[in-house]
Amino acid sequence: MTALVLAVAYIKFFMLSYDTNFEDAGLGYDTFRYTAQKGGYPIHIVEMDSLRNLKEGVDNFDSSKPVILWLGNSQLHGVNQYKQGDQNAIGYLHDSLILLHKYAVAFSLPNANLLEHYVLLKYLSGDIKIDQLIIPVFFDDTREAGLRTDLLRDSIKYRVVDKGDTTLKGLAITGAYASVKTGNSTDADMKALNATTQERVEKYLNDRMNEASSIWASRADLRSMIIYDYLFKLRNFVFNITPNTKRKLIPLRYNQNMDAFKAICRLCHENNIKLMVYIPPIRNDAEQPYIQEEYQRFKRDLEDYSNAYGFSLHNYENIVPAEYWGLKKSTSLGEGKMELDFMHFQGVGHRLLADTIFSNLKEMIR
Amino acid sequence: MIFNSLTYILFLLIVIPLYWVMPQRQRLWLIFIASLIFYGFWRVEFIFIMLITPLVDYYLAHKIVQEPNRDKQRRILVLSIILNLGLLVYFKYLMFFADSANSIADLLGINLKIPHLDIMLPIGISFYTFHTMSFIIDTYRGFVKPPKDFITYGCYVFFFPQLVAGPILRVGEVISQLQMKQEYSSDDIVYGIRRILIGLFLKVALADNIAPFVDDGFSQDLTSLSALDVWTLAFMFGFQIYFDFSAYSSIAIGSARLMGIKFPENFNFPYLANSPRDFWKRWHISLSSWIRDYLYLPLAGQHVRDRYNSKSEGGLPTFKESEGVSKTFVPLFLTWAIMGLWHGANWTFVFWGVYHATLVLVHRLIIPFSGKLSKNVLNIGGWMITMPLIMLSWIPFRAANMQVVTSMLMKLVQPSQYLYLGMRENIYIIAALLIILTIAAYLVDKYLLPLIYRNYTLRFSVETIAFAIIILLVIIFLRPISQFIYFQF
Repeated sequence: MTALVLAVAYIKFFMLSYDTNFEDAGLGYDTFRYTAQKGGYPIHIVEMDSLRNLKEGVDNFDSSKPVILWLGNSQLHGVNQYKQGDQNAIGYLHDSLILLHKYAVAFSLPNANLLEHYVLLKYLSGDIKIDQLIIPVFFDDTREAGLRTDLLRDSIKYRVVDKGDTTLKGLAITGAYASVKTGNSTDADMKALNATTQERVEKYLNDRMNEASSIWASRADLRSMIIYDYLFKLRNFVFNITPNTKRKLIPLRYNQNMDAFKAICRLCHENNIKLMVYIPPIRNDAEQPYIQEEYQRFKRDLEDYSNAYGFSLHNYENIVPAEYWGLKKSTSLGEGKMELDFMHFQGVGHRLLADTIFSNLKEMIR
Repeated sequence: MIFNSLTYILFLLIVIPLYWVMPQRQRLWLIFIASLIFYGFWRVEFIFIMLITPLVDYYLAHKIVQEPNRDKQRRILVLSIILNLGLLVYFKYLMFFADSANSIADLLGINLKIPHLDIMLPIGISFYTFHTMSFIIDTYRGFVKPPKDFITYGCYVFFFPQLVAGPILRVGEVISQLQMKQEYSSDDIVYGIRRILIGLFLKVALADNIAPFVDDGFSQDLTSLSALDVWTLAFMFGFQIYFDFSAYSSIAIGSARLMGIKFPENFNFPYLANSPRDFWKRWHISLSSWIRDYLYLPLAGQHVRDRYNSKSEGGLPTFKESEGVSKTFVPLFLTWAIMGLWHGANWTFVFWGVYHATLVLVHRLIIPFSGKLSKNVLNIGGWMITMPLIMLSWIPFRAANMQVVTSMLMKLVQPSQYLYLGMRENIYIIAALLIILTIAAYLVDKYLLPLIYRNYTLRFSVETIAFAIIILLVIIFLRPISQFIYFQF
């Protein structure tokens, strides 16, 4: 009984007293998630659930006209030290393109790997007429693999995977999709009860508990807190992991990502989508968290693919000066420490990125 | 009903108080009805299928007792076994055999296409079939007499804490306790709650959080995995299944104890075993002893002594030097292949069983040469060899098919596959941490706790803090996000 009281008191008076949005924990506490809207419709989304709104926006603009699609990661939706009036790069780019009667939309996923971009492109190209694709290739994200739950939904699966598509061979996508269960209506927390008699009872009890107890209702946040605030920080503390720590390339994941990238190039070619690829900005006032030989090889690989597949490749590594990047709170144990943010820049940085892309696009559009 | 759910907690909150306020006879009815409700929360219609074999076995057991002729008794027993195994084969293995026959026919160029039927596997069928089979076999052997009423017997087969994933208990272990009027003891209640909390912690805080790493690893393109990744995945799944299954057993033990019924332990630090034989004294103890008494010993032509009947203690039988190959190795491999198949209708499980039989056999062959080594060397050296070999056995247990198993195992013998890592760093950190924690848990249990328990204040403080952490994590992580792995068997 004493243990129960202690546990509840700790959750109530310690854990719940922190106000943290764990959905954006990966951005860092000083980076704001910004998704641009124009004319009452989003032109930038970060989750599959908002896809319908994005399509409505495109239809409202002119559904017969092809759009420019920008796929990205959290660099696109994260604005470091956000100030009132700031936009992100897609917002600025959209404003510039509208003068040329072009419409641009964006979809960004945190830590998106290229396999995910491929699935997303293949899915979206069935819904939206795409004239041009802008895609950054992040060296960091070649360490990622697999497909997140959003992208494993049946609706996507059935459109993206068809047996005749040899592009998918070797992309690990078939295996990932094979594990998806069809007709799964149960929410993620009750997966094991799918279609059992217990499911209804459990949902009812859970709803009543959510109404009766703030602790119970906050459990998803508490789980994130344990993972991000306790375990993640503890790991970084024990192994002295900082933003500067070198992230080693994972060879076969890298190859998988590059296979997916080549599949994107082929898909664009088959669908007459002009492809613009850029090596994303990175702050250059500190030692980069990459092993330089590996990073240089990565850039050389992209150049080789550019020659082979004929897309335009741009190197934007240095377009955002050091002063437009920022700091974020430490992701290790210990209060008050700040550390460099290598991924997200300030509003001015977004403006510079948008302007650079716009000037390159203008040349392509001409 | 799934243990890791609010529904089960509410179920216990209703059943346990009712149990203690009822007279003995009504308690049996309560357990019987509560067990059917417990099962019905999965699929109501399967209650009737579940009732078939125990009803028939109960009737046949009485016929055996009444029948003076041994041959006729044997015929009744065979009838019962055919019924039990027939239902098990229909629900669990029919499509496996059909698919295997189709594959063999394809290989031989024969046009055989047995159509595939979607047969839903009744949850827990392997467990309650073993319960009811041990009852009829022990009745035939003369070890037990069937209870006078079906309800007492039904409570043994369907007792909800052990219904869907064991432990697989003997008639003698449970029925005598069910028939005896249990006296209320607050110690039993406290012990029961503690075991349930520990079980929930192992399941929702550990097993369910390791699962995504394992699922991710096994769903990756095999070419992306190195030999070190295969080892890591073997260890990770080894820990996942240990936490998952020992969690189930702990909740089962705790739930039964809330009613004053004592279940034996099903696990005892299995990954600290110093030989394959030692491992099977520590892992899923009730299954290894069941297999020994009802499968291995009869196959080896050895006499099954009554003492085995009283307890489901684990361990493999001792090999006798004088016995030939037909009485040791053939039954050994056959038993383990069947034991593998019991776990699931897939050749991967047969491979798993044969792999374990090989480990036991090799251990048996090399043990005579270790006579000069000191006990410490044998213990530590044995553990260092046994643990990775046991962990490796989880690859076929978890892999989807034999193609995946062979691809993964082949990587282990290629030196070039040891030169890189194919997964994110976190999984290696967690795997290393789990090994360290397992050893630490054993050392704490063996050396530190006895010291702490000498001082009441210290014991109270340590237990309060430990259970506060367990309760906190159970509150935060409790959700029926995944079934217990052994539900599928």
